[in-house]
Amino acid sequence: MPRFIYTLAFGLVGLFLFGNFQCIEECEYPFLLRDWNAALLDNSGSEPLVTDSAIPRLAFGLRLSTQLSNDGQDTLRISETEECYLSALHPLRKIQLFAEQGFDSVKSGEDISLRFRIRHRTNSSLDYLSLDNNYNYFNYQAYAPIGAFDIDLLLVEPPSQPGAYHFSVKIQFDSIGILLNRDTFFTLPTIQLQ
Amino acid sequence: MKTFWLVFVLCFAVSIGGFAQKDSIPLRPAWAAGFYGSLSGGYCFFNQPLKNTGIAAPNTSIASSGGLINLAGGLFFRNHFGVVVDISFYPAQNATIDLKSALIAEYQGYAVTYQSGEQVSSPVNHLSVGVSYAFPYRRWCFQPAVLFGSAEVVAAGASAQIKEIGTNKAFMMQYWPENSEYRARTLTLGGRATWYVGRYFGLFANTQFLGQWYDIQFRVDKTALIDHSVEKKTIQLKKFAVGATASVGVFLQIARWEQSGKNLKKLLF
Repeated sequence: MPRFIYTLAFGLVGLFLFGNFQCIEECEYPFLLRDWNAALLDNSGSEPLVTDSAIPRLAFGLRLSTQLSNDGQDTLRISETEECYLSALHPLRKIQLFAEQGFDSVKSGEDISLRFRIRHRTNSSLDYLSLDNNYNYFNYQAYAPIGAFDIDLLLVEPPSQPGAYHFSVKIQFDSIGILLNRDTFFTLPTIQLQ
Repeated sequence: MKTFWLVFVLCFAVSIGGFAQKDSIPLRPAWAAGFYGSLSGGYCFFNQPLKNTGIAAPNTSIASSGGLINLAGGLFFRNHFGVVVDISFYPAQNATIDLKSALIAEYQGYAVTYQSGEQVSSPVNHLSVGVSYAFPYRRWCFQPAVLFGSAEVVAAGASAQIKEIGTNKAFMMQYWPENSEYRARTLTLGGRATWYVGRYFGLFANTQFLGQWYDIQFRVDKTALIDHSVEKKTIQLKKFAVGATASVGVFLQIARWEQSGKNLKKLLF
C-alpha cells in the first residue's frame, strides 16, 4: 500500500484527536463571606422588610447580612472562555437558631432551626429551604457581585402566643486546610411578637 | 386597518373580473391536467372562544384576526377533480384571559408575583390537504375545495408566586402545557376564482371558511413552600372556533399535460 495512505490516515487520526479532545481548564475564584450582621424581618407584605418594631409572629423572620469579598476587587470578572466558578474559601456549613427563652414546648436555649426556612429567591422562582443541608447555594455562587449579600430566614412554626421573645443565631463554617475557627454567634435583641 | 384590507381584497377581486370582461376571448386552455402553485395575501377573521371560558391557560396563542399569507399547490385535472395542499400563516395572540388578573381575583388577600414565561409566538401556521373540483370557463376557472388539516397552537409554561399577606405562608403555581406541540384539527371549505392572464400565469381570489377544534390542556402544580406538599390539577379547554379568510394573489401553472383524458391516465398512473 502506498506510503501516502498511511500518512494521510495518521494525519486524519491526529486531526480527530486534537480537534475533539481539547480540554478546557477549570478555574476557581475563591471568595470570603465576612462581616456578618443580623437583623429582624417583618414578612407581612409581599417582600420581607427589616424592622425594629413589633412584628406579627406569623410573619417573623431574621436577615443575616454578609459581605462577599475577593481581594479588594469591586467585581469578579470571569473569563467566558474558561469554565470558572466561585467557591467559598470557608464554606458555610450550618446555621442554627436558638430560643434563649422557652415557649410552648420549647425549652430555654433549645435549637429551633427546624422551625425556620431559608427564603431562597431566584429570578424565576421562590423556594423555602430547610436549614439542614442547603448551603451550596451560598458557597458556589453562579454570579456574585462583590458586596452585601443577604440570607433571609423565616419562622414557619411560630409561638402560639404573642409576647416578648429572644433568639440567637450560630453560623458555622468549614475550614479547608486551615485551622481557623470562624464560627459566628449573634444574640438578637428581644423582639415583641404580636 | 381591517377596513383597509377588506376594501383592498374586494377591489382586487373586482379588478380581476373587470380585466376578464375586457379580455374575454373564447380561449379555453387546451391542457388536460397540471401542477400549479400560488401565493396570496389577504385578511382573516377568527373568533376567540377561549376568551370567554373564565379559565386562564397561560401563554396559549391561537390564530387571530389580521393579515395572512397563503401558499398553495396542487394537481388538478381539467375534468375536473384535483388534490390541494394549502399552507397559511395567521397572526397569533394570547387567546385566554390574563393569568395574573385571574390569580389576583382568585387569591384575594395574597400578594401575587407573576412570571410571564415565554411570550406569544407569531405567526401560527395552518397546514391542510384536500380535494378540489374545477369549473373552467374560457379564461376563468372556479375551483371549490374541501380540506382537512391542523392549525398550530402555541402553549408555553408560566409560574406565579403567591404569598399570604400577614404571614410567612407562600406557594408557587407552576403551569406546564401537557401538549405544547399540539395542533388543532381543522376543516376548511374554500373556493378560488382564477383568471388566466397567459398560458402559465394567472391572478386569483380565494375565500375559505374554517372550523377549528381546540383541545388545550395544562397541568397546574400548586406547591406549598413550607412543607413542599403539591396539589395537582389539570386545566382542559375544549372549544370550537370558526374563521373566514379572503385573499388575492398570483397563480403559476408549473407543468401541464395536453393529452386526452385516456392518455393522461396512462401518463400519470
